Amino acid sequence: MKDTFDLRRFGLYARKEFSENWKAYALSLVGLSAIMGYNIYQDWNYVHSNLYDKKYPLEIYSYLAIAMGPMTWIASSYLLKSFSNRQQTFATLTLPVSSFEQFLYAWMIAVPFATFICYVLWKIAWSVFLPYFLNDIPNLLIGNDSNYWTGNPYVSVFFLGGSAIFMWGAVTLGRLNFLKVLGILITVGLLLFEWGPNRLLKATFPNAYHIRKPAPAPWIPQMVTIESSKGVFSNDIHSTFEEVYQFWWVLCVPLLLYTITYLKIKEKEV
Amino acid sequence: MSQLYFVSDEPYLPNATARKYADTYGVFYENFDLALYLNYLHEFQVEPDQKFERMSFGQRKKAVISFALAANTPLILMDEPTNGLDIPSKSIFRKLVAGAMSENRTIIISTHQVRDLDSLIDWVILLHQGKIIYQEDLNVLAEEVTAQPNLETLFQEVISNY
Repeated sequence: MKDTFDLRRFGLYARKEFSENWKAYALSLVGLSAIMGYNIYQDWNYVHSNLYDKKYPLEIYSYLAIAMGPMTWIASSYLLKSFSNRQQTFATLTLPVSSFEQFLYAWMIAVPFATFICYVLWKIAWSVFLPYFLNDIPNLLIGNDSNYWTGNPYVSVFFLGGSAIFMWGAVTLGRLNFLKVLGILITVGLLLFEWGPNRLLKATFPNAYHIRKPAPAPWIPQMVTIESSKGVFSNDIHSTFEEVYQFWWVLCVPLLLYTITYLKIKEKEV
Repeated sequence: MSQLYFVSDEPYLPNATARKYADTYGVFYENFDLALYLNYLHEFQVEPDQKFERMSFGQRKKAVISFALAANTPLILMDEPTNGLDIPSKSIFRKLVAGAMSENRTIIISTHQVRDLDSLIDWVILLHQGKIIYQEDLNVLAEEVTAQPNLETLFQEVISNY
């Protein structure tokens, strides 16, 4: 067990990683603050524009979800960046730290730590600026759609599945692995979840001249709208295996990808 | 891994000073001796508070060699350790390695610059096209030829007979 995990050694490794990468961590905080600042600026302009309707709440949670996804992906790529350079990989593998400790550190920083930091920064940013919003628009409604994405387990696919894919990419794809993984994801996503279903729907409903679907994400329940000469037809596509499906995407996929990433690191060790 | 230290031909070093490097990496080696490390750096004329990225390749190599010797691991592997070292530094390297040798420690050095290490080697293994073509205790060899064996000549002879 000591060869796989030793708390003291893990602490020393975390200290080493922090002391070597603190500038990158600080820079990511600055970047994140800038993104949140820009979002708040957009909302400020929106509530002061003619487009703003007081009946509708200002949705502020969506920005948090948007920031958390890329933050975990970038962090996942960055934290295992040593595996994208031969010289650095060798230095990492000869360090007396187990692969499990290296993987665990990367995971802890990329997922729980990064999401927590996002949340704290978002909370601080809005607590600073919200009084100004309320000062200008006293009856401003604030949308609390947190129920949607905290109650929707599929959202975890973005953080867990996403981070696992980018970690896997960092370990196997070498230089520019972040961009390579992003390119692969977009291509595969479009092919499998946009082009493929479109072809299938066209084959199923040959008379349809316009088919609308939700975003190309496999875990989003599909609602299909078909416009044809016979009128507009809309239907939610549900499955009797929805719970199995959810279990697969939320738990099995991330776990499988994390295991593959860990095994890839072990493979390099040999 | 804490029982061995590897000095690669082109070592990867973080953007830190040699002193900071010892602070963050020395803790992984239970017998690491900071005073010895600083002493080796001094012998090599490497400034401990200068950042690695401002050092020449040879200076960085000397810092890594110093760390390897001060880590006090039972096994040290060195790949082309004298590459990038100037002539006085090669002499210091030989002196420090000879001084660091003990019964409990093995240093395996892979090199093409056999002249740099003539006086250091106890046991020689010659590799050619990925295969071991010769291995012998140099003391036995020295008794046969009644002088310090010339490894370059030895290699050429072995190759020609292979």
